[in-house]
Amino acid sequence: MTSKERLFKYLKPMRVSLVTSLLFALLFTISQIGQPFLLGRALDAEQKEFYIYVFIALGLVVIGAIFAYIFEVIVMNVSQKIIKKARDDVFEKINAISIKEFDQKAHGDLVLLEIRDMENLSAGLYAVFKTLIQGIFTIAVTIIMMFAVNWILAVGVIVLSPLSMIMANIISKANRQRFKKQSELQANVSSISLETLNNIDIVQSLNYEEESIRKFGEMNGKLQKEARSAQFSACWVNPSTRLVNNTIYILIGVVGVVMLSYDAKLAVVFAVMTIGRLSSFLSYTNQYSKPFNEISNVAAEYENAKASFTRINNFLNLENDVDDGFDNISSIESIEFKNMTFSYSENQKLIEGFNLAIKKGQKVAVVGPTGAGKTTLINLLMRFYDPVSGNICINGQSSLDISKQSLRQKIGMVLQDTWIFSGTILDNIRYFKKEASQEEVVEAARKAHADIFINTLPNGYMTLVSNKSGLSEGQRQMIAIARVMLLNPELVILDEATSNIDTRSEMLITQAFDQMMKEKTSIVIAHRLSTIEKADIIIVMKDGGIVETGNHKELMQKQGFYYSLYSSQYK
Amino acid sequence: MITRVEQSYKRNLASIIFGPFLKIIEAFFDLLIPLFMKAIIDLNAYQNPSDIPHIISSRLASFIRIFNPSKTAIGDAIAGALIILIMGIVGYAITMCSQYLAARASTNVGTEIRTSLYAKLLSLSKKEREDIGEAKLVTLLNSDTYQVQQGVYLLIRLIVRAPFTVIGSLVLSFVLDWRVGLAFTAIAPLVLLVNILILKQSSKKYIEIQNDLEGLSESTNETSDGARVIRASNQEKQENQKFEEKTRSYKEKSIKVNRLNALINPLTFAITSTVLIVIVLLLQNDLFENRVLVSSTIIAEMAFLAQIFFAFTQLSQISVEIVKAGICRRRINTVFAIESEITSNTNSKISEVKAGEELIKFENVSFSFNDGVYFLNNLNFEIRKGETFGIIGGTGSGKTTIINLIERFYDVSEGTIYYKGVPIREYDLKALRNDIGLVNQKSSLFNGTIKSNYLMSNKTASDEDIYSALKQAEAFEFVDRYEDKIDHPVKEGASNYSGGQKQRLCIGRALVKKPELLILDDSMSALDLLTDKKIRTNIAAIKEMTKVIVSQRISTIQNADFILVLEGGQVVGQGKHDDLLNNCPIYKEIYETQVKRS
Repeated sequence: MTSKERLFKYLKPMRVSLVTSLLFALLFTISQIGQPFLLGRALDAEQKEFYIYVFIALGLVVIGAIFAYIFEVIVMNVSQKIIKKARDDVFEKINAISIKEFDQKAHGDLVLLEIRDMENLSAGLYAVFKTLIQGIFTIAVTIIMMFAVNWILAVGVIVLSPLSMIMANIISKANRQRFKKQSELQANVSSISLETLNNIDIVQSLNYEEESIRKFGEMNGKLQKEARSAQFSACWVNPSTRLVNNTIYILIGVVGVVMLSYDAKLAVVFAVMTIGRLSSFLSYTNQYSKPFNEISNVAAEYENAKASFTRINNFLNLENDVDDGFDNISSIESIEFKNMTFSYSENQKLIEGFNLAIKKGQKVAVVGPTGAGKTTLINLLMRFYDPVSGNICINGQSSLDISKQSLRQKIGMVLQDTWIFSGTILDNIRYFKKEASQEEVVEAARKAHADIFINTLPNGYMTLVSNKSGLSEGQRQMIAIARVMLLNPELVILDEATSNIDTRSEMLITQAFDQMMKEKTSIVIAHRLSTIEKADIIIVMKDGGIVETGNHKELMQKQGFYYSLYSSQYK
Repeated sequence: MITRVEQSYKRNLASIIFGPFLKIIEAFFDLLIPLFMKAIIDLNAYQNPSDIPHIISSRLASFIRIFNPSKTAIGDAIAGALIILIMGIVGYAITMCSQYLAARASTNVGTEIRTSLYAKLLSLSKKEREDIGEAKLVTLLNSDTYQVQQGVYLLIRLIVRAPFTVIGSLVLSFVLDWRVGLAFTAIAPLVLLVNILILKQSSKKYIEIQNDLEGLSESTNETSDGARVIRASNQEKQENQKFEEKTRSYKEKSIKVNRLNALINPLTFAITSTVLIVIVLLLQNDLFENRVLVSSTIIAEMAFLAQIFFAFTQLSQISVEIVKAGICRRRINTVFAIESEITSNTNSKISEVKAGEELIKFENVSFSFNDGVYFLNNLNFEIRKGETFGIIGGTGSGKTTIINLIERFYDVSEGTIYYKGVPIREYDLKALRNDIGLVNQKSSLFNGTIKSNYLMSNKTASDEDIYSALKQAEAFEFVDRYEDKIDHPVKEGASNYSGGQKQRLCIGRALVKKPELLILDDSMSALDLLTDKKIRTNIAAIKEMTKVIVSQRISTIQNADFILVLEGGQVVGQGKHDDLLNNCPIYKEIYETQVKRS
């Protein structure tokens, strides 16, 4: 979908509001701009007509204000509604694209998309709807009115007014470079402060505070200079346009005054001038240049919004990850990797010709150095990624034919990078099983050895935690393990799930898992080999392939790669 | 350094007062334009200044005449226009001076607050920083200070000018005609009231909206971090729903605020336009008698009203910014107001103790965060000079808290810690920390070079000192392979080094200080056992240095002279490795989980 089509899609449900807003905009500009015209007529009129003009003008003021308010509210509502829809769409997309696609995105970019780009879009929509529509109407109606009053002056105003806009544009363009430099320096200052705050213990321990303050002050001083010149140049716009506008006002006024004296001659060319007309005219001179300035002010917002909307649209155009499997499975009886090949990038094969069969009830361990492809196996089994060639068969059936949802339902997974969402510990533990009772949660936490530390927290299970704060890595892993303990699935995957937990707790957790996983299947990736000694099969991987398989005893006797890994840990 | 935001204002007081004053001059010139315009019109109608039946207009007309001795009608108009133009240009020049002052004062204030706040943050204790929260510290420094800066800028530029325009128009309206002035006086406060009431309401709501927006950002982050877990548990729909509720709340609040804000312009417009109509009605009798004179008064009044309308629009636009700046100023001041609980004492003379004598003593030491939960509970032990002291325990057992207390990142809640026989609180903080070389779990390295990182630890270290520290930390080998050796760059977050390299570099940095006490807090976890052992052997050879090694790994501490076993903030065993195996069940369990059973 192109940006235009997408925008149209968002605007379509709003068409009634939009048309209504156009109508109100037209009405209120007419009534607002009609008023100086009527007052001018009143100044020229005799007593009887005077009242008519004045009271119509008063009526227009009231109607104009009401219409203006309605117009503004409609425009705000429309832009807020569109933003909400777009935000929800982007969020849904984040959760809908394949992990393969997702892994290529930086999380920070997604946040920028949801916050900064949406804010830009909102500002842009508002600017275009309000400033542009209102501005164009104002300009159009004012021109008509000015010609109705006196065409000679009208031509003068139309010719002169764009001057202030041109002036504003020239200044803003010159400023852009300065602002860019300023924001670069701001980024420098911010990264120094981040580095210090992240490592503040060491800064204090090294007594490095004074030196650090000096360095920060130095960078900050550079910023000060640049910021000063940026600030200064930015504020040229207002006074400069004011100067230009005032000049135009005076010129028109003076020409008008002179025309007053030649009224009779001017009547010949249909350019009658009276004092009342002059008053209308001066009022229009003030009004006419305003929309030009406003439109040129929002030009930057429009550009930003356009760029942001393109980014939003590109993201929304990503393909959804479709759950194309047609079969639901009721249990996992066997898993078989058949001659599977996989790579993340085209020119570098990560896994090649991989074969492995797992039967229900087995405890399978996968070990090997970093980069051997252990986690990739999990990615493939969970169908976060699909193999380039070869097959993964579940119960003898290709996993491509099985619905992802039904496959994933059977599996409980704990990854090395644990995920804690903001909420209570209780809610975090029962994320996979929302209906679980408090007792069940406590029981699961006890098995995960998390109970002890949870109870020392001020609010126990009701303590609020988030992904960023509160818990140490080890504690987070314990929570993630408790989740799976609570779910009690038929297949458990542990990918370095205890890497940050101390060895004694790890042993207790492993025992609890062994208890739970009797008769069930588990796949464990572990760095510390002590946790997997009891596995039924140990798969030793290196460079994307299997180098050895067997149980602990067999592999130790073999004195091969596993043996050397094992010995290196216990010397 | 400053200790309140207001101090920085005071230092730039000259600009803060003089800047708006200049702005007032410009605004004054702007206010004169309508009066001159009236004079030009009147002069054109009456030909002779003294004939104009309006004192001010008559005076201004005479003034115009000075520049038009020819007394022709066109000459009058041109002379009048030139006078106004010249005033405009002078006003422009003056306003630019004011703008410069605004830019200078605001950046001065912003920069000064930023540096001072940075210094303040460095002086706070760990506990105080944690109370504020890491994320907030970053926001304070990198967003709030800019907001205050922007506030000062707008303050100088607009805050004074706008009210002056309003008051000036009021005064000049009386000058035009007392009835005009009265009508104006009756309604101007109304406009002000409408603006203030609405802005007060909306600025309150604005803060809520800002919080909602932060919530949206957190949700996005959260769902990104949890992508795999969410997909694995088929919870996409629920997550979308949660987010949808948040965007709805955001939308509704925004619409509500907008509804209120949208009132400002139409209302201000309606009120100012009504004043004009009222004035026309008030002057109607005069109008039919003296059309030009009254019309020119109304033209001038129209121009004043246009200026007022503009001033109010500007005020409503910037007042949100000013309110925000005020909130930020208060937030910054709260941090400035914190008196750090970690106070440095004057005793900078640290005595010498001989090998084997007590270096550090914990006496009934407990630590908690005021909430009754004890992270350390009644600890008693001694560390002797020259020995290797091991601390072992599980996740959350309180190992690192002990280190934080020795470094005085925290102060004890109960009990006393002695360093060389003197309570550590009595020492000068810098002198105490100068004696300690700390390596923490984080492997903190700073943007720069290897050398610059080592000089942070010991300003006077020679290249030889650095090389010898690198050797002791088993880091020499890989550093030596770089072409630029110790000048090899360290990128942000030391991203150009592996975990093991970072840990070795950090150990070396602590050693180059030649500390009395070396603390390794779980800082060899990424090293293979062989390197771990080599480093321990190297540092054991530095006899006069006391070593405290915190670890989860038995092998790292089993050869220590003394081992402390922690569990849940309490000492559950202490002694040598062999004794602990016999009399400390928890130690034995840890041992068995890590060391191959026979």
